[in-house]
Amino acid sequence: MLLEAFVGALFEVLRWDALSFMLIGVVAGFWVGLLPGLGGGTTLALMLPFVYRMEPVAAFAFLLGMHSVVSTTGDITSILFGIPGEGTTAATILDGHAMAKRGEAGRALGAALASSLVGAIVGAGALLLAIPVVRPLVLTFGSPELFMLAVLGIAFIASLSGRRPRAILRGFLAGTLGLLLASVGQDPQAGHFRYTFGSLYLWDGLDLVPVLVGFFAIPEIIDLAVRGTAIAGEAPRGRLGGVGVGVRDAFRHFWLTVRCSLIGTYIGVVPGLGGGVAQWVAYAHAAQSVPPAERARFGHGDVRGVLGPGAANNSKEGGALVPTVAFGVPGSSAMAILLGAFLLVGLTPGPDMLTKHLNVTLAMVWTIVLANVVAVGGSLALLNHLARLTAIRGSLLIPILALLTFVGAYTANNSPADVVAMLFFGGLGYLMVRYQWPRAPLVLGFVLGEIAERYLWISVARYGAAWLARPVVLVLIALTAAVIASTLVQYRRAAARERSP
Amino acid sequence: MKASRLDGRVVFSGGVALAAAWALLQTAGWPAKAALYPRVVGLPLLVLAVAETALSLRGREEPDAAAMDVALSGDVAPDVARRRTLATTGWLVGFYLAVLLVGFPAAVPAFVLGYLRAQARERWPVALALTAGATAGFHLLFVRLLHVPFAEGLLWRWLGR
Repeated sequence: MLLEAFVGALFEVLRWDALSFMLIGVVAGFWVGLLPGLGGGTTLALMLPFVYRMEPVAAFAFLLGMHSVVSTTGDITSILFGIPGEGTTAATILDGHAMAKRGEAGRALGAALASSLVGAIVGAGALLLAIPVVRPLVLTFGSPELFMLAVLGIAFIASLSGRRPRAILRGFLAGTLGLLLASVGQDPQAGHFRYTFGSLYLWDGLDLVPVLVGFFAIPEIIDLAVRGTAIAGEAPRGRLGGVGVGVRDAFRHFWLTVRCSLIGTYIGVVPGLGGGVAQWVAYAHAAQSVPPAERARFGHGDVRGVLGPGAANNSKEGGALVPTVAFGVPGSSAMAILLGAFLLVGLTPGPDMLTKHLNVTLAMVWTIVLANVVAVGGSLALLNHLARLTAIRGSLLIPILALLTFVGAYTANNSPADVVAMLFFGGLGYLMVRYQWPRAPLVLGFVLGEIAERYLWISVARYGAAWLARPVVLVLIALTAAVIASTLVQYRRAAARERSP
Repeated sequence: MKASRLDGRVVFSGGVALAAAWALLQTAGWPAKAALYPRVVGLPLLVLAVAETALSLRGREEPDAAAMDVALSGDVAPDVARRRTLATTGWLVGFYLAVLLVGFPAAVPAFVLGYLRAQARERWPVALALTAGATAGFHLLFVRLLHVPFAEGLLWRWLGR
């Protein structure tokens, strides 16, 4: 019965009108992903009015076709230029761009695209399989557990910030700084203005787009100017090599790719966490899962640092659709916009989507898979042209990268203050790289800050101090301590091995 | 024992420590609801930043303490690197001031052409071709297609245009 419906849904997506709209969406998403700052969520909102007169399957083929490929092509910008094409592809920069700098752009891109496809398929599969069982999973987590999940996420990435305890100290320092930066703006409980310096722009807090664009792009632009070479330096030119190696890497480390896809899917399912978190947790997991001696390669061009976030930032779409479709609870801001599309085409999320409109739900699964197959195929066809950009002299690229960075930041709120925020965080990012403070924990802290505060307040208001004694909270506290302790123990052992003859 | 030293690393971590202390002091007059979260995260931030500053002051830097992050290029002479860093920062700040004064549509060609000629010392044909391409791309994509509402430059407002 389900199999029959599943095959029927494929034919519905392959109908000329749905397929045409999906391809238009994929082409739009392809370019949106490539352009820094221009977010998939914003574009989704801009495209929403076009679905008024469409059939539900065609409407979701168009919207999801566009939305589900932005992370795929966002990885390309992150790897080639060190600028996040999307907020959800910033983690790919750390190792992907390092690989591009030493002339391995092809391998990094191949790995990112292959892992993106695996991630998309795993996410779509999760959407297919998880709907009947996910409800109890989501409901086991209340506010105290979700707060501790945020703390665990930061502990995870902070403890993996370097090889030595000093680097871990800086990791936690960066993470707490990110958490504090997230408190800028009107507080959600009392409506009090915090750290706004009387500026109207800061009332709503700092926007993620200018923060991320500046944080990663400005240090890269300055370093490119300092080096005075092309992005790929003196690496040999010619046709892009290693794409096949990168694709094979995804399958050589297949279980890592699948595990990171599952991490992305689960984080996508939990409302409020989203792709900004999924990519970093997957990156941390990729680093955690290698022997300590190999961990030093992360951040300096280890392909596993590309596979993890590449898979997670795509698989989270399928996961985020689960609560959206099944309960009408959007897992992310983009899903909240997509929820609007349900209402526009006359559908109500909930049990009906699993019975009366099962064909639409299953068509979504196919759309995610097919859109990513088309996007990855198109990207592979264009890779040589795109990667040639890394061989262009830096002096020619800098003004263009600066232009994209400025406009990308400005489009967040169409305010010159976005550019100021971008420049400020660009300066902070540069200083952090210069003084060897890891940036990943700060970004994760910043992304998680808002929800961490909300869940902390609800926990304290609802349970007082007793929230700390809830069983799942205790497990998560123990897990947090174990993550830190195990990292330190591993470093001690590695150091002892290095000392012994 | 190593002598205490005051370098960029100390100034940076010390600055973060001061910012954390300031952020905590600010919460003194706030309602409990608004102050809870900044205190919960501000206090560990202050402790960690003070520890990092103290370690930097003592000149203690572990070998292999590099962050799991990209590293700046180290194969350029420090004075050249400093000069290029300052020049690039100046161009970026200049671009922002141009955006503020004349708006994006006029600032984009001015910045691209200015940078290519004055900083990168590119030949006129290359500089003009790239400027034309960047300006055309900017107008087509962001102005025509996406209708991004770019703010008018302050200079035009002052001139009453």
